[in-house]
Amino acid sequence: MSAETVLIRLNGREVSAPVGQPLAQVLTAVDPALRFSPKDKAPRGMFCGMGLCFECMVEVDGLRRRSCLTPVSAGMVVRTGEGAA
Amino acid sequence: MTMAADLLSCDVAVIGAGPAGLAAAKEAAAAGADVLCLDLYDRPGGQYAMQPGDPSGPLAASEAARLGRDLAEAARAAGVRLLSRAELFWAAPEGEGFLLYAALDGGAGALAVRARAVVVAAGAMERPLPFPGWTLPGVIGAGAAQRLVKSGGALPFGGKVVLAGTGAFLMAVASTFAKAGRRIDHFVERQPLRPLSSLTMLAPWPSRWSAAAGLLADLRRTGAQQHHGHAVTRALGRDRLEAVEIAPVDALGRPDLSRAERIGGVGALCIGYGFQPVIDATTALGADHAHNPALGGWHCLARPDSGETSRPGLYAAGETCGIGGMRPALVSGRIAGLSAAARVLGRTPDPGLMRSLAAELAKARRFAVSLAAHWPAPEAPPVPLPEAEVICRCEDVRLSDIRAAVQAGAAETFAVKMWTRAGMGPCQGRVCGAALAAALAEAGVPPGQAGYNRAHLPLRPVPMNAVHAALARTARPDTPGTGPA
Ligand SMILES: Cc1cc2nc3c(=O)[nH]c(=O)nc-3n(C[C@H](O)[C@H](O)[C@H](O)COP(=O)(O)OP(=O)(O)OC[C@H]3O[C@@H](n4cnc5c(N)ncnc54)[C@H](O)[C@@H]3O)c2cc1C
Ligand code: FES
Repeated sequence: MSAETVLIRLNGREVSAPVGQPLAQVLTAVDPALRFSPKDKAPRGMFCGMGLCFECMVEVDGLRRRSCLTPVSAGMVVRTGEGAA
Repeated sequence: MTMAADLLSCDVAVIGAGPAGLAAAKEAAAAGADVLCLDLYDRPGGQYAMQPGDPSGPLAASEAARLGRDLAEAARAAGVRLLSRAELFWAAPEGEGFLLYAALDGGAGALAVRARAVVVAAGAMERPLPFPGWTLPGVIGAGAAQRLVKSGGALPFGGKVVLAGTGAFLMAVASTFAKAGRRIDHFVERQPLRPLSSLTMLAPWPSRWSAAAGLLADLRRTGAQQHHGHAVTRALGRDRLEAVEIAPVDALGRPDLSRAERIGGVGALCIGYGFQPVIDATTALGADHAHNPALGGWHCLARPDSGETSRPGLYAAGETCGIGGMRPALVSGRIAGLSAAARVLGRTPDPGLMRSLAAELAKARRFAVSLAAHWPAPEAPPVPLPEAEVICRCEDVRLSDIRAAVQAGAAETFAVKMWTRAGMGPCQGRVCGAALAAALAEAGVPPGQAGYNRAHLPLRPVPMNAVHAALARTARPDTPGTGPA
């Protein structure tokens, strides 16, 4: 890919990512577990990739978002691991 | 945080900018209606005609990507207002017309729309069937894998890639991988190789021969080791997928677990057992729906010659009316767009044109039906499930919980939901619906009787301030028989 690479902040750490790529793609490469299930606290990752299962929910600049639908942009602040025990 | 929402009005609102929605919007606008088309994604195109992330990459030149660009351009040229990153989260009738509510940019903004007629072309989604280990990170839908590759990049999981399930769509996914120069390690198709019956199926459709040959060649180009007549019986791993177990299946599709073999070092299992229509908007608006396994289960009923549903002024097109693929989607979109425009403009659509479009739709659907018969989508999970397997991913509801509810008398999807919370989470039963139906079928309740998960406000988990901002722009909407859960 020829896309320009930018820096995002992932759980307090700087990570470089191609601008415009689905955030889920970048996060999954770091760790495919994006959050934990509500009761079992089991790790979960992206599943449907099209915005309908909500397994890829993360926090982006303070708003809960589906990372499979969120394009990477410079300086976004991302927090994964929702629901951790 | 308070938010202000916009209020727009239009003659015809189209939900979805896939092939069906774009075709509908263009026809309606060309006929003289003022048309607004809303779509959740960044760019118009929907699934088949999704625009690749890299506009100069190898996928941008594909027939599918070109179709999406052409349709969007034609719609814009006809005067359609195309709104991307706009997700419908509620809809209600208002007098002769409709009120629609959408979240903008994932809930950062909100919108209310007053429309005189509505076309729902919300497409399809995968119809997930659980199997042991299906909730592990690294197990994704086959369609999810295709979208990731189209978005421009390798699958982000590391390790081997296994593409599994059943259907012509698996070949389409493999073809996308091949065109993007991505490899697949294992291809696992539940159906055995059936060259003779495949040729018989394709014989009456010469226009499809070269595409079919291309798909086979692309599958070979991925480098995948092919396992026909096999099914995935288990995904294994601690915190993420590590290995996949596959086994040969018998003529009834039952896997022979004693002959299971393990594939190690797997990063991604991309699995697809077919599609189901997206019907949240049409059920919220109270249109009639029916169940037919050959059409992906529950689908919205629309008249083939007008696209009108049981609710006057509400039209449906594309996969929302039953799985059939891109061609029926395009034609049904044109039909619905022409009819919706005629309604609001007080005209009658050209009967000759409508007749020929209806005939074209019937033909396109016939091919879809023969494909579906060649690759029947399994109704029940392909492997026996352990009692402790999670069925509802949103609420961690296990098969044992669901069986207990059914045994205690929950005889429809809605009752199981009330009892166990299965389907009450953010996905509103879109992901667990097929498995719930299978559990009820096992207890003797056929899917047509079990019903579908009823839509509730908001249809998608939109931030509450966006919901309030949009609803506040209009008088309180009616909620036909559904209401907030
Ligand atoms: C993941 C996936 C991949 C597919 N890939 C192929 C393929 O490679 N080849 C093939 O022949 N077929 C493919 N299909 C089948 C596909 O359904 C049809 O080929 C075709 O895209 C159907 O056109 P459509 O317009 O009915 O729906 P779609 O193309 O699915 O378009 C529906 C649109 O509606 C939007 N939408 C839905 N709900 C809302 C809402 N509430 N608010 C706003 N917008 C909404 C969606 O975002 C989407 O853009 C795929 C299906 C899926 C689910
Ligand atoms: S992966 Fe399903 S919503 Fe993002």
